[in-house]
Amino acid sequence: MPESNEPMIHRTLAGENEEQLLSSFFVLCKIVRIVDQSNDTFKNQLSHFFEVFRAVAGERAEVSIKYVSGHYFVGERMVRFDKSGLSGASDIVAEWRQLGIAGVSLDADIEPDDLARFCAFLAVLKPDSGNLEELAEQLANDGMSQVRLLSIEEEEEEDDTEITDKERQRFRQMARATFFKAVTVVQEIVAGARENQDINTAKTKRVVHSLIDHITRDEHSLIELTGIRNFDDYTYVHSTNVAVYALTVGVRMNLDRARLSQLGFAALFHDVGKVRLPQDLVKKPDAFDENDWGQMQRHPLLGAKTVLRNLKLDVHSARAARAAFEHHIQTDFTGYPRLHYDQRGPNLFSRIVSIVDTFDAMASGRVYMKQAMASDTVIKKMRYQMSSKFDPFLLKLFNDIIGVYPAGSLVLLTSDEIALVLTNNDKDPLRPYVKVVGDRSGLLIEPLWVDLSLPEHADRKVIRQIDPARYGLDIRDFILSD
Amino acid sequence: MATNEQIQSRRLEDVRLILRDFLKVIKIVAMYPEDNPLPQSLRRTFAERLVDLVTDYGELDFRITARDVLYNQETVFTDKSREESLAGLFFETGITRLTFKVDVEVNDVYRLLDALKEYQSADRRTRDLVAGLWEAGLKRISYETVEDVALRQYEGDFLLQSLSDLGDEAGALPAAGSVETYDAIFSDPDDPLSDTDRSLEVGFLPSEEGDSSPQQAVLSTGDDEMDGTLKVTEAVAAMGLDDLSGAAPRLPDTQLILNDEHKLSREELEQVDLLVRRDAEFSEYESTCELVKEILHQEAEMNDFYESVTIGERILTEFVKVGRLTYAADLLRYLAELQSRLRGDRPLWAERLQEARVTAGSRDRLGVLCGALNENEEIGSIELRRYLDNFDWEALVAITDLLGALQHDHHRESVRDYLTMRGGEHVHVIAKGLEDKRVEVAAASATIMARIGSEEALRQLARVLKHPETRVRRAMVDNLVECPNDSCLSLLRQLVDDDDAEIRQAAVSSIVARRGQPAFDAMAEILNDARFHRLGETDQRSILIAYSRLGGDAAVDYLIQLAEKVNLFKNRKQTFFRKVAFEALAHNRGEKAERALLRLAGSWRADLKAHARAAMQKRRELIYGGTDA
Repeated sequence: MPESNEPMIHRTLAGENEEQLLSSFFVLCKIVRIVDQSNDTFKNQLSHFFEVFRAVAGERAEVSIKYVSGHYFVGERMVRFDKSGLSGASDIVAEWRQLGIAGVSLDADIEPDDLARFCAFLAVLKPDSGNLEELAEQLANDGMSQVRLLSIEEEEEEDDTEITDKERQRFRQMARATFFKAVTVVQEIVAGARENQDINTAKTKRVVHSLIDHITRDEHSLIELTGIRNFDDYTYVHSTNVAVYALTVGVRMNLDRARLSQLGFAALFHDVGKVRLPQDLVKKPDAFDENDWGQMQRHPLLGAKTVLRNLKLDVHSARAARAAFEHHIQTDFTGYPRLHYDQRGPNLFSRIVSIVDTFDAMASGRVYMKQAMASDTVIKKMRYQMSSKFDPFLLKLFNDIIGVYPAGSLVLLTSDEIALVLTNNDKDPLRPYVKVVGDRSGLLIEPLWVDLSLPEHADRKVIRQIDPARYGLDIRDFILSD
Repeated sequence: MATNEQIQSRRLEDVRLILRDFLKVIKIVAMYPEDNPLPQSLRRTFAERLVDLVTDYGELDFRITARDVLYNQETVFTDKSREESLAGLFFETGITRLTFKVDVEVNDVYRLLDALKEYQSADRRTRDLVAGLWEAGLKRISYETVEDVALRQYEGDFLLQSLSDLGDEAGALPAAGSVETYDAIFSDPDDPLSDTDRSLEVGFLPSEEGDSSPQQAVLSTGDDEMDGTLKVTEAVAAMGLDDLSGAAPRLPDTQLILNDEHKLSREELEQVDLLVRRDAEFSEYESTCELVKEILHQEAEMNDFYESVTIGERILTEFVKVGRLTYAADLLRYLAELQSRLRGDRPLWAERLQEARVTAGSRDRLGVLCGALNENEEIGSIELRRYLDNFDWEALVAITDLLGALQHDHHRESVRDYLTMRGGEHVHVIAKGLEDKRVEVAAASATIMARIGSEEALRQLARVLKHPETRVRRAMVDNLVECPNDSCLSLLRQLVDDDDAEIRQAAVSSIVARRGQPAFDAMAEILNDARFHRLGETDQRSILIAYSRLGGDAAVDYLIQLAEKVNLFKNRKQTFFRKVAFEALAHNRGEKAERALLRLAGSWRADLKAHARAAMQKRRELIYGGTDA
């Protein structure tokens, strides 16, 4: 629990009351689309909502329920919405977003009848129901003064501005510690597996939990570190990168804590089978012949066997074994190993690991090839040339997360500057938050931290990604310099 | 009015008390099953008190050392021993701080207690309280570990060290590059990462330039003309993505994909949500079972296959250890199926599978099963039977052995049923249990022998007719009731003479419950034996009635003899036998009995006359269902 005493940047986790309130609100919104406000089911739900609402409101004057930057909030506290509630909520939230609505704010003394009318009002909104101002006016005309619609723009702006540069730097520093701790744990896993010893899963779980805690609050600083791919023994870092990416996907999918832990664990172990291959083969500088490939393609099987042999059977190890075995089996059943017993498709975690493993392998140019590819090229290849290989929804989700220039990419700006991407920008991928590190004349003595989405930087945006190795630069200089 | 010192002292005292209770609750919760009212009540009381305390005093922030718990720099709890350890419980897993925040709720405390319970009952090799607390998702209780402190104090030096350790070819961070280098970045049309890269415009066609990478490619053939794109193609093929070719669709410009279409739509989000919901059904046991089956198919070399089988054996044991017998049975069944498929082409492989199945039925492995059954009363009989059904006769001895160690009746009963069903052809194996020093095993073996009821089984049972333990003889007699083999009557006859009254009675009950000539002969034999008189009157009565019912006409003479015997001195025993003889005649459906009773009904001896008339009336009731008017 590394961040227990750290100030939260913008996501204080909510309690059970907030979770219940959020869930109850969306249930209300769904019910009112089906039945009348006088229906008993609706009334019961309304009454339940108010029980929780009073508890949450407490001394507050108002309570807001909103969806900002991919997360649900009640007031300023982020709610980890469970899977049972997400389905209905996502529909409603998607409709809101079309209207520019981030959420609603309810006065603490709102009456049940008013809320019922408001829910009915929300239920009949259409994409062409008008803009936010018009809707607010309608609410006022209907006498619903105790409710307000929140604007996406204002809320997201507020959300963003809460992160200060100093806090970003602090988070990046914490991210490094967590990331390299994870690398160290992977090294230990590898050493244990090589010696055929039992592997300390407790340590692995702890580091996965640290990664999750970090990603939940600030995924970008960890993703940035995955940009460092020029290690000699890249396998350790690759496994860590895969864990970071996989967990980021998992967090976005609203997986519960237990499953996130399992996912991170599985990702760290996905390539463990390589330790059982001859190391001169794994590190072979020359071309692989058919026999070499044959051996290399045994690593998923060897990985699964290693996990099943060296780890106590529990849900973590079962997930890890499955992901190790399946992470090269594609959704169209190509890939390897070939299935002989049962043609069942790879499970969710294997699909996630497959995507992020391929991405990191191709972007690094170190796992199977020395030829690094730009992340946007990798993404395009994965989406347009290899689409049948991956789960299309997960691939798109991953793409949504990392964008085309993920944190940790070195990019060229229109302002003739070189910058390191720190946080990608969902709304405008070409205008991420960056650290400008150089220009035509060389490295800057003091790097500039620039949010390219701000109007004052309208003249700056990304042109393309730069391969630092091509110019004899080391990405580590830029990522780790501050 | 209380002084500050007094308030502080009171506060410390309250904190001390709550910590003392904390330890008590942890111990009791760990000790009792969840549904026991005692831990439930203690948990509730403790959680409420703790929440109240936090409400009164604000956040409770405890520092933890190896033996002490400190609050506001004051020691508020000291471990007295390993058994009375609160600080140690947390400290041994690296927790150095535990904080109950101001808005802590009862549910948070419950989660904490649950995590502690799980930790204490977990396997020592793999348990980890910190991971357990994290997974519990405590929201208003925080903790800090030594690792957290290390991470927080991390200043970055370690990172560079780590990077060097991981192997930096250059040995040091490279120079930042010259002005020319930077200038080149802005004017390099051939940067392969550029979107204008020509190789991307034509899909995967090789570029005209050679590889500019300073490092040798893993996939390189040493051919200078081999370019990066080709390596990529080979590499992705190696990753199983082998349909990438020049025919693959052209890649769009990056600028063109940065639109809304590129993002997940609402419908697609629903699909993602569906994936999450489906994944919630993941079962580690089902998944591992299927994976092991698949792995058994994957190897082409015998040694590798042997390793797979060893892994299968390990997983099987793990399934059994945690009481997942359905999956264990499934895996065992599959080993047998595979064995039969491999027998022809790969006899050695089949032999290894046979060995694995035999090992699964060994005493050691069945000991694991026994532990699991005793710990998990909820494992059902059907589940257990399905598992046991996978074993061959070699396992019968060890399975019989289980009978002495199983704690729950339904498990013992299930094993007995199994052995009865499967032991018929291997009676001599199970019969070894009759000699077991443990009474439970001997008794259960006797039960099984009796239930099998074959000639061989009965012969084996005869060895324990005089077993010193009443339970063994009792098991035998109780289970011979259902034995379809009339040969068992010989054993029952002998048990009628047992020293134990209950066994004698049970033997009689068994005999009288039977039908047919052998049963009649057995009863006649008992009646003619002097030891008949040792039996209780109830048993004697039962035998006489059964004798009459089974014997029909053949039984009448003996009963008339008993009825007519002169009893001048009103001997109580003779009076009893006369009465029972008439009762027995009433149960006799033969004409001879009817005639005899008619004759006696006209006797000059009043008592005979009365008994005979009553018996006739009773007989008609029994035969015709009513009295004859």
